[in-house]
Amino acid sequence: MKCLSRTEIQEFLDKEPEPSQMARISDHIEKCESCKALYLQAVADRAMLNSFLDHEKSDIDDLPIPEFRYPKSSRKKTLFLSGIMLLAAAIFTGFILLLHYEKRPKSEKIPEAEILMQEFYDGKDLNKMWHDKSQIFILEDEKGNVIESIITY
Amino acid sequence: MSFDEVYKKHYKELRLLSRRLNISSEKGEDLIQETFLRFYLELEKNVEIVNPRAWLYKVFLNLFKTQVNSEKRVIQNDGEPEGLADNVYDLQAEYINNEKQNIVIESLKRLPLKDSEILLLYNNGFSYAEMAEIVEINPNSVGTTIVRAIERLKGILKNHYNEMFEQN
Repeated sequence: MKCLSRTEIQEFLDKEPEPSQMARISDHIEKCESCKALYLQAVADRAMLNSFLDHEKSDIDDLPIPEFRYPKSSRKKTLFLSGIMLLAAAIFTGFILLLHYEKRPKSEKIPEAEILMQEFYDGKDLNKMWHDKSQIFILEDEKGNVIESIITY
Repeated sequence: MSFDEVYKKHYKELRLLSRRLNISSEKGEDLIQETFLRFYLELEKNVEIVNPRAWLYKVFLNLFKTQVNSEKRVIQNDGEPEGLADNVYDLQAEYINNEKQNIVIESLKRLPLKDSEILLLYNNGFSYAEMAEIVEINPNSVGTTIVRAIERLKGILKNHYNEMFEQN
């Protein structure tokens, strides 16, 4: 195997070659002094780079994460969907109330002829109602004789 | 993984990337939000994103490059690490820390943008295939790009900050 380039050494350091290739490169570096020197330099360079860049990483841990600014269109969409859901809920509630109303017990209608025979209907005193609402018209002649009396109610 | 989980998991990474690329905190925050917004919209369209982390880095860096092309990089000169206002630091340690942070930012700024990107991605543990996808280069040239970027960074550190590093 011929000597490795700096790029090949870098790729080896970063474990990019295939496993079989990795083993061959490793063997070569063990045996070749110049490639071993290049490899050690690459290791040192990578350590320098990481040390150079990593010291800031701890700073960033303390940073608060702000809320994501969701797009307005999405907010409109959410509002629209909320409105639709609210409307659906209102319709559903109305439907349930309507069903409940329909199911309540109803008083049967009493024929008019029977009403006249009752004293009370729907909690009301029919005699009193009759007296309160009825009017009596009495038609008399010049002498005061009653010609006709009319009761309206 | 839901959108909220991805957001919480990768927000700080992008924030760190933003800082290292010397983007002001306000513009960095805008870029991060824009990146996550695009991610959110992709999910809304039921697009399957196999590697959300790599996807976010790619979109963030593309947005950043678009911004760089339209305006010069904003130089952040305040020297104070973000988000540390409540922490109590030894003054000397803080001074050294700020100096090192400035060196990192300044050194990366002196590198070609592609080199900065590849080094930051490399440091963040991306595979060669992921890096190639994110910065849109040939996968076979990732190793070469890394080596070249490291050599350039070493040159910058040696030329500009050797004295300071020897002191620390």
